[in-house]
Amino acid sequence: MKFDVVEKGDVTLMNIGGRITLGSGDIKMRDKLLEQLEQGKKKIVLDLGDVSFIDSAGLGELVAAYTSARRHGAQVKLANLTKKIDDLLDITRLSSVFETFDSADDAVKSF
Amino acid sequence: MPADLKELNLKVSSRLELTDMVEEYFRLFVKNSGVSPERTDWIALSIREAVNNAILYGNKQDPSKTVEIIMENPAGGNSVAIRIWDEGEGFDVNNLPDPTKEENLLRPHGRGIFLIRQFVDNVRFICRSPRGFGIELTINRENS
Repeated sequence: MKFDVVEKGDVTLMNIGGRITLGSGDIKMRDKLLEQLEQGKKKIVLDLGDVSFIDSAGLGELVAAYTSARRHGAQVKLANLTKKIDDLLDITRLSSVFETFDSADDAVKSF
Repeated sequence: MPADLKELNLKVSSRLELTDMVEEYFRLFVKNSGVSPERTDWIALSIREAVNNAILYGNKQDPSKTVEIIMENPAGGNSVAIRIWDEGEGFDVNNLPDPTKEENLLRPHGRGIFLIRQFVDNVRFICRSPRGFGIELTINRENS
């Protein structure tokens, strides 16, 4: 799993790549996001364009990211979803939970 | 792996890092079976969910307990079947919360069986004596 964090003004853009699956990417994503929240970041975009595979644990991590952010008074938005992730969000009705954007730039500008 | 492989049996200990290996074997197994690459991805996801459930909940990650995976691709048959067995007692399959209900949407767990049911043509749960619980996933080739 790959991670890099870029500051875009007051928005934190987290580029995530690789697989978010049980036992591999799921815990890393949680830790990285918590780091940002604990630093007081309030506007976070997860760019999922390079995520090649996600399972139910990975979806659970996206949900946990959303709820952790809310607890910290922050907001998480998703950008650059692959067709498969988009389909999974629709099937699980998580598309009604997340704000999603076609590009990271659009997500950053939306705050 | 030979193109005409009709059955593949795997036995793995209850360690989550072995799920990747099971997925790879499945991808090799169905490569020449007429299942489309896109559908293969969804079925691979279903198998991962079933194997992870077997390791986590069936065998409670006890490495001395095994998960058995049987893949069958009968010659001239219309379907591919995958059975995943653990050494647990199973669970009430009729009493699983619907993860798409409003009150469950923000729960981080509970989507595995739901996803399996979306992506394979038939799901069957089987108890075996004296112990052991299995899930059988069937994929019809004509829908692939």
